[in-house]
Amino acid sequence: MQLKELEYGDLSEKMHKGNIGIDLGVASFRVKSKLPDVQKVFYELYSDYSIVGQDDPTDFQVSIQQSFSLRRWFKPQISFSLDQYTPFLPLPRSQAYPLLEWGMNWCMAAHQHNFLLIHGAILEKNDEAFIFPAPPGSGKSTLCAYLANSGWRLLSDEMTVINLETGLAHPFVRPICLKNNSIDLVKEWFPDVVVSNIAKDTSKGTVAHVKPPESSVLDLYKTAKVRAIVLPHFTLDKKLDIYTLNKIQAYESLSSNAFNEGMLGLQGFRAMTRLIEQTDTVEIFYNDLNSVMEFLTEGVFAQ
Amino acid sequence: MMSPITQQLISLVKGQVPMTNRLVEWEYIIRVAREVSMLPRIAAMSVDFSNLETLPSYALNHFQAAKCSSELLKQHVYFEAEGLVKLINKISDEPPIFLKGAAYLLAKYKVGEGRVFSDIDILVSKELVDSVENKLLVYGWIHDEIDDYEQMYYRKWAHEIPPLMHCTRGTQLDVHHNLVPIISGKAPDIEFFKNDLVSICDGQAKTLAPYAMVLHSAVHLFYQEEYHHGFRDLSDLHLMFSEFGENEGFWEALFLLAQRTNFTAELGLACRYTNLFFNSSIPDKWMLKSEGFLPSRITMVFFDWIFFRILQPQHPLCKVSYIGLANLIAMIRGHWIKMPLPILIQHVSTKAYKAIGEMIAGKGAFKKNKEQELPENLPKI
Repeated sequence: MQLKELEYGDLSEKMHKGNIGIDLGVASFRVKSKLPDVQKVFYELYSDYSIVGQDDPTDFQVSIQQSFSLRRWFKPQISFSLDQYTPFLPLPRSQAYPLLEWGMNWCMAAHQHNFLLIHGAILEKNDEAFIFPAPPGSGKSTLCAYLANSGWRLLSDEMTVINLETGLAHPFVRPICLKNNSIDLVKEWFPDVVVSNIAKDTSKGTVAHVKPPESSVLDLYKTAKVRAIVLPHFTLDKKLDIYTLNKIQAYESLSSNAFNEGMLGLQGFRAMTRLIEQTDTVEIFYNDLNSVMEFLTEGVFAQ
Repeated sequence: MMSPITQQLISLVKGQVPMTNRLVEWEYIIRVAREVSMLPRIAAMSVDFSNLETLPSYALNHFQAAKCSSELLKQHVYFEAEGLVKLINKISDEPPIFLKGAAYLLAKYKVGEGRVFSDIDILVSKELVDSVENKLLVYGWIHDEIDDYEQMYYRKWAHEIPPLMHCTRGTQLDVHHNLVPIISGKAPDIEFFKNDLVSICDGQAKTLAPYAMVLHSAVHLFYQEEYHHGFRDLSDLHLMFSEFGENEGFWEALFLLAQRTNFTAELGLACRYTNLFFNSSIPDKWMLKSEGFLPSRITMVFFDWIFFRILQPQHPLCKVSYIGLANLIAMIRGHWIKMPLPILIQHVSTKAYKAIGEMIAGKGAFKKNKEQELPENLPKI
């Protein structure tokens, strides 16, 4: 059953009690929040996802709650918890929704060690997946939002999930986190997409989350074969420059973006090197998203 | 009454697949285990399951992931131990003695498998403490910033120096010269604990003899103010009783050491509660003797009321009645046995002052660095 089949009132009541489980493929989350704005945005962005059955277990039980201190009366704060554990210091009230999304990512990175997890977007076109590993500020999420709304299948905006045995990528489809100027750009390019309210002055600047395409959400259990690794650098004065990386450089750049390669030890290293050996790696400097898309679908990778 | 989840966790510690009716019960087991730092332990014990098919894949996945984290911890501890041993052996012929979690791992005992801990504890002679500290400070270990009160507390009253942290790796290290705070008046002649030391790290370091290790674990458990990990610590004792109980002369040596060092009450409580919770295999003769070590019958009614509650896993799902009150009493008791009254009053008022400040201004208000903090070794997202 999809979340949107629930009435908003039902969802609100269930979220209030922490009774709603949502299936995200490689992990499931029970989400609890009494805050109406968090409930509302969650209902909008996750409407296409399936609900976990009453008697089925979930992997992570997360909540966003108002912190208890006298400060709540003059400068309210919210905090994120995984079950009873609160990994971060509280944040200002206005950042409640982004904190939920980041907290969910943290749960994966800190606990989901059955897969190799890489900090990077991953999207698929014509049965070939491309990983875009990158630190914040490289333009990865904007590129991701662009491709996801131009007929590509979104596997993840933030976290690439690699199967340790098969080397295939598992989707971990989530709302795309846009920052600063890219929020208005995406709204302008794709007027129909659902974008959450913006949260100002977060550690990443101004952020908003974009609802993932329904088709990508419905393919949550469909794995993908990785064709190439593309390191994006949004650069104002370059239309599109492409550099090929050798295997050592490729390993270095991917490994530095891995969440749990070290945690997985030898298994992690093997999964990482296999991925590098079976794919090509390029670094791109660009200011034109359409050229990037053309290059990926019609350039060297298409042959 | 013990909650069903507590009983299921007890089965898992013993390497048995617990009875469950609904799949969602596994979620509850995993959540409680994760909260009380027992997930890697029950994951490690699950390798003994003769019938792995009876475990649902949901549980297996969580166990597998937990094993990764305990494997990393193990490697980390081996690495740090090697460096520490080299440093300390440079300044003294007396090898360092590893204690608690790190010792369980380095000695390759079953109780070390999947045991979660956040700091490495070592014991050195009182005369050596200053030179060890200076050496460590030169080699990249630093003290966390602490206020004057805490500094005085450690230097004058405690059984250890202020905690050290490695400046790049973030490893936490506690250097002890005794096992309980000096101010308590109950610190033993540490030489009694240093008999029959066991060689570890290729003979470069030592750990306590099994019987001394067990007594230290019992003393540690019943000297605490805070029992969030009480269940895990009690399961340590159970696993050690199971592993060492058959050793020649183990029980004699354990009871003799307890009598010599005046920790008979702690040993009595350890036997009583491991037996109640885990039905540990303590020979009748020694069980009987340990009962003689317990406080008066009236005190035991009171102790049972507290310890039967706070030694259960502490998670709302376990629904232990009056757990808040039991924790409060345990906290008062923990302070009480460690400090004479005038010092206790001063200590509690200093701590309360800080706590009230936090309540008004919010958590973390007193941290100098107000940036978001993530736990050690976890990626920032």
